[in-house]
Order: sequence, then structure tokens, then C-alpha cells
Amino acid sequence: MPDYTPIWQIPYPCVGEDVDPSIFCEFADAVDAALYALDAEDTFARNRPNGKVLRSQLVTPTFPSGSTVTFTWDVEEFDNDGMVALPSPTTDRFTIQTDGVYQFVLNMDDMFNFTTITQFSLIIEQNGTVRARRKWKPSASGSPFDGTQVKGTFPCVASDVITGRFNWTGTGGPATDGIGWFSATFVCDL
Amino acid sequence: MGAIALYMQCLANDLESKFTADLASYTSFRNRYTGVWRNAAQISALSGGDYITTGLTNIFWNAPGSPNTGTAGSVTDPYRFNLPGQVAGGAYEIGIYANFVASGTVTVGSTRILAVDTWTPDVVSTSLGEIEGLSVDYTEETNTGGEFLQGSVPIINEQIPYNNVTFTPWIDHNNASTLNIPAGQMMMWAIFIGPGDQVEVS
Repeated sequence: MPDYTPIWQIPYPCVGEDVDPSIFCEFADAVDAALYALDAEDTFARNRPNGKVLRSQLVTPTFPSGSTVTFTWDVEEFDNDGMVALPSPTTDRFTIQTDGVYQFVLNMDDMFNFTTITQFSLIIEQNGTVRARRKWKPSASGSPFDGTQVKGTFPCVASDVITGRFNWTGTGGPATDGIGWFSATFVCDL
Repeated sequence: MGAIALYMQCLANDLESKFTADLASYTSFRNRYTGVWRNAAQISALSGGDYITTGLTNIFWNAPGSPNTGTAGSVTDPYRFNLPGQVAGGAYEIGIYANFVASGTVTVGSTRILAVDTWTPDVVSTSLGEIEGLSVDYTEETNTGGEFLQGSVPIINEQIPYNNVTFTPWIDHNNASTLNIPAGQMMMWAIFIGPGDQVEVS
């Protein structure tokens, strides 16, 4: 009866017992399995789940003052864990596939042509609950917003839905509702 | 035969230790030391110039040691980020989100400031010395409603060999009435990006 190492279960013959040739095969199989497992860990470590979506063109706004609306995204820049449901016309979310702590960044450019504006907010939500929000005030009525960003880092589990949202109050609208991006980056296991 | 058995046993144990070390290395690389905190209940009556030293509960932790070794109420040590000895020197990202709601009348044009102070033990006295105090976000309030401030700051701690770093959120405002942070509307995180010898700025 061979003995085994405690963690990787590599078999070896005990001193004093007959060495069955099959032990060499079992030994090699156990080492092979360990190497495969380590290779999978190496691959994951070098390819943590990451996704980034773009809002690639200025479009007619549908953002009424005082309402919180969810951004949609039309281009998948990258996604190595199936978090983005593109290609379809647009998507409005990341759907987490691998449990972990993630960092999300929501960035919007070129929000302009407001007539009046009292506040402008970017929001990151997890399953409908606000996890990060940042609010800006204009320096002058009607000022554009450019390069605005909010970031959040929090635990997620598979199937969690992460959305980037927008809220503003004022008149005149943004005449264009911005080019921007939204990213999800795995930080660590739960 | 005995020699072969002994050789295979030694080889198996040697591979076992090497594979285990490799796995630990991959796991460490994959899992950056991280802590996340959130307020379970409202944090009340912030009058301006306040350190937020209580009220944030650790909701995630994967760094060595306990997340609760800080001292609630301590300005310099409310939320401690332990790391193995000799490693605390390096780069961190500290991020905060908070919603400040006035408890009464809002003073038009009044300011809100969110900042974080970081501290590390002094090698001689083991008292905590300030590393940096960094502004995270700033705004002016012109109407009622919540003020949502958010930002993150990089921290470079070159003062090794200390085995922990602590950080304290700081809020200032000049509103006539005090501010509250509703339950669940303040989050803070700390991520250890890498030790000093792996963080180089040229």
C-alpha cells in the first residue's frame, strides 16, 4: 500500500514493501494533476476577471431632469469572464460570473449644453443598491461636465448585476449624453 | 527496492513542498490584501473638523491578522490594516464614498470636504505618526438633499519595517447645522498594491 503526501496526494511506496511498477504511473499522474492545477492558478492570477464597456458615440439624450437613469453601452472593449452581454445592440450592466471583490470605475465625458443645472451625479449600483455616488455642482449655470468619474470597491457574488447610473437636475438637458466607459476589475477572492 | 522507495518518498515530499509554495505564490499574487468597511447605522452630528473614528464595520478582509485590532474612537488607529512584518512599506489605494445629509437648514454655498489621514507606528516609540493627509473630494452645497462625495487616493508608505498602516476618514464643513451619514451610505476600502521594492516611479 503506497502512502501519500498530505496536500497533493502524491503516492510513494513505503520502505520495506514491494515496489509495484504501477506506482510510477500513479506518481506521474499525481504530479501531472498538480501541475495542471498550478497552471490553472497561474492562468487565473495573470488573467483576473476584467471587463470594460464603452459608450462610443454622442447620442440624443433621454435623461429627464430629476430622474435616475441607467447608462447603456454599445462596445465591449474587453471582457475575459463573460460579464458583458454584448454583442447585442447595447447592454446596461456587468453580470458577475466569479465571486470576489471588484473595483468598478464609471467615467463620463462630454456632457454639455445644459441650460441650467444644479447638480450632476454618477452612481454605481449593485443589484439596485447604491454602492458609490459622486455629485458635482457646476461653477456656472449651464456648464458642461467632462472627465467625471466615480469609483467603488466592494464584494460581489456570481449573478450580481452592476450598473452605472446618472442623475441631474436643471433645465435644457444635456444635448448630448456623453462618451464614456465603465470597467470592472477583480481585486481578490472572497 | 528500499532505495527506490526512499528516493520516491523524498521526491514526493520535495515536490509537495515546491507545489505548495508555488500555489501560495499564485494565490498571493491573485489576491491583493484588501479591506472594505461600511457603516451599518447612521453616523450622526458631524459638526466640522471631525475624524470619523467609529461606525464603520469591516465587511471584507483578506489581509493577515484581524481587521478589528484598531481602537474605536482613536484618531490615529480606528481602522488598522495589518500586513506581514517588513511588507507594510509600499503603495496602497485608499477609497471612500460618503453621503452627507444636513440635519437642519442648509447654508447656501457651504462647503463639504472629505479627506483621509494615514498613520504608521514610529519605530522608536511605537506611537502612530502621520504619513499623509489627503483630500479626497470637495463640493459646495446650494440646496437641500444629500451630498455625495467620493474619491480615492494613492498612499506611498516608505517607512518600513512597520507591520500596519491605519487610516482615518476626516470630514469638514461650514454648514450651520450638523451633518449625518445615513446607514449604509459610507464605504471605505484599502488595497495593498505592492511593496516598495516593486513600486518604482521614474
